[in-house]
Amino acid sequence: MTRAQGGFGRPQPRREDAMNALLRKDLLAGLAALALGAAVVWISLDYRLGTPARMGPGMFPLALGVVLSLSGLGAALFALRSVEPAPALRVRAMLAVTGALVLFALTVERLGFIPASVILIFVSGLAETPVQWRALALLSVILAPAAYALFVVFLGIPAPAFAWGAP
Amino acid sequence: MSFADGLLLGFETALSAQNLLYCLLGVTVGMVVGVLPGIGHLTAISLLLPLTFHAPVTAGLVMLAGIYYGAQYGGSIASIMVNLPGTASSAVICLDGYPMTKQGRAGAALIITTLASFFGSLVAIMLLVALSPPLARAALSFHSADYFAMMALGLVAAGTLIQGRPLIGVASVALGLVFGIIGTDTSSGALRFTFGAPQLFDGINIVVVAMAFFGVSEVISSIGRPRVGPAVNGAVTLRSLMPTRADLRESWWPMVRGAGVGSGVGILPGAGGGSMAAFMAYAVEKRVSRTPERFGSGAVAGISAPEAANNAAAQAAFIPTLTLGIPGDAIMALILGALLVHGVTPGPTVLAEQPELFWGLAVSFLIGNLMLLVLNIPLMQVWVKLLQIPPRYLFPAITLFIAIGCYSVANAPFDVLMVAGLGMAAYVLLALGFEPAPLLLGYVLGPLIEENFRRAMLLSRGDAMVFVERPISAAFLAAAVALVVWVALGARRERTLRAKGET
Repeated sequence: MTRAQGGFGRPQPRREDAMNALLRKDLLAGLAALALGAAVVWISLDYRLGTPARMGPGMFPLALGVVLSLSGLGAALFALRSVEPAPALRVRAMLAVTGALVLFALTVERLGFIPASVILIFVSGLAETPVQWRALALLSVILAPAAYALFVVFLGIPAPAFAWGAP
Repeated sequence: MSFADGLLLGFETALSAQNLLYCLLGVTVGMVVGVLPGIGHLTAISLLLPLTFHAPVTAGLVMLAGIYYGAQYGGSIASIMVNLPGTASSAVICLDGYPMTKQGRAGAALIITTLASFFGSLVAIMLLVALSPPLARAALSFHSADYFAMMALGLVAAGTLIQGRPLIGVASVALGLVFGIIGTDTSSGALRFTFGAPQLFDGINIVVVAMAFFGVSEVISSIGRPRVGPAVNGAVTLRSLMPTRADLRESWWPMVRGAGVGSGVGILPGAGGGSMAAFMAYAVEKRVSRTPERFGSGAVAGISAPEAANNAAAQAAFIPTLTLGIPGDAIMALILGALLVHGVTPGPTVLAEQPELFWGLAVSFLIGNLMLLVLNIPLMQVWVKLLQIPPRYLFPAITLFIAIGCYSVANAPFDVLMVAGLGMAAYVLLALGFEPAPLLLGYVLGPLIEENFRRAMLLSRGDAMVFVERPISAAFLAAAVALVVWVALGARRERTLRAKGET
């Protein structure tokens, strides 16, 4: 968070405290659990509950949803006294790594195993700043064939090395 | 099957060329990831999990187990040489191991921890082969209610015994249980939480869950973390590895006590395995020592006891996993998951129906520990050199391994998309303080605990009193309640202490 700038050069502690209160780690964790728990309860109400002797598919998830919501609520209430700020997420790394995985999923059958691996290595390498182009090129040359040898040749995963233009 | 027959079968199984190869592979990978502070053994086991599906079940388990105890050996090397614990359970080794290095006694510290590791493992392996058969026989009379109570205790322990936030720990367990029951409900055939996606009808694969929580989120949170290049103090020569007679004498009783503490902690379900064992052993040594002031400045007992303890715990953790089907920590949950994928229902029947699995695994521990002992001494310089590899080159490689590993399970690009989405969610949840280990435990136990609960209620015609009427079940549930009360009181005292400190 950036420090409040205005107000005759004086920091404005009150407003900042109020903002930080919402961004505290434990509070966010509790609210996340509460929201997930509520969703689980909501979804499991669609399933048949059954009787205690013959439980339907809904009983156990409903109980889990209740436990999840209650523990989240409890954590959020206790968190009102905590002071630990919310963690800073590494957005660049998060997008690069998950993006690389998504691209691999989309290309492994359309372009083939080797191109998909190379794409993954370069995209996941974007996570670091500055990007280590030479290291990534080296990794591609070594890793993509090695992984192909291990998984496709040795373990017999059916995947073509290259599949340009395949449907 | 008699004890001697069992051992014979075990040697026959473990000494087959294939199992020896997988054992060597496992302990070597374990050693390497243990040394590298960048990757934990949970990440390594998750990454290699898909490989075990292409091997026979015994060979796969031999490898996974080898990674686990191999990492216990390797972890202490980083602690001693550069004061960075390679694994959580070797953090306590830093306290006295690193001071020894600064005094120029790195070689002695390394060899003592290797010997202590071997000794601790040996004690726990003997315990494993001695205790498992009678325990499995006793467990054959367990009813669904007892199983439910036992799993409940394990989950409560896993959720509440974590550092700091027991409520978030409980939430992590509950979320894991929900992940576990996604897919087709076995008793009614109803589809749950599938959102109409046919790829989810069989549930989320354990590889996807493990890689999301221990692979993807690990990689994301490790990238760009400021790292100080570890400065390795002094070379380790073969000659310096010779321990002095005084060192050996000083470490004997700590090793024995450490092995005892470690075995005890390892058997308890949900107790958290190696790191708790190591810390407890250290505390015990400091208390019984005649010179407690030497701890923290290079006391030999301060490395030998915890090192024996964390290895003993790593081996003893297999006792409840293999005999009762109740994993004590996240690694055991992964091992249990691997068993389930191979169609083996973990529990007391494994010992009777697949004796070669149990005995082969037990003997492979012995062989693997011998391999580590033999590998360790001549290769010590190589392991120390490994510490200088910058971990950043590892991340694209790990990401590639995650993608291919998930794809290889069912040749399904969908699983890779799943690991991307779940991995992003995992990263955010873990950043907020959710705990991956209890979550994974919940995921693995989810279907089992639901099934046992429903069966117990069915057999009692809907009477929940069955859980307190059966003595075994009542004892486990009482322990779970006691644990919750103890943790709640502890949390409350901590809050009042903190409140006093602030004012």
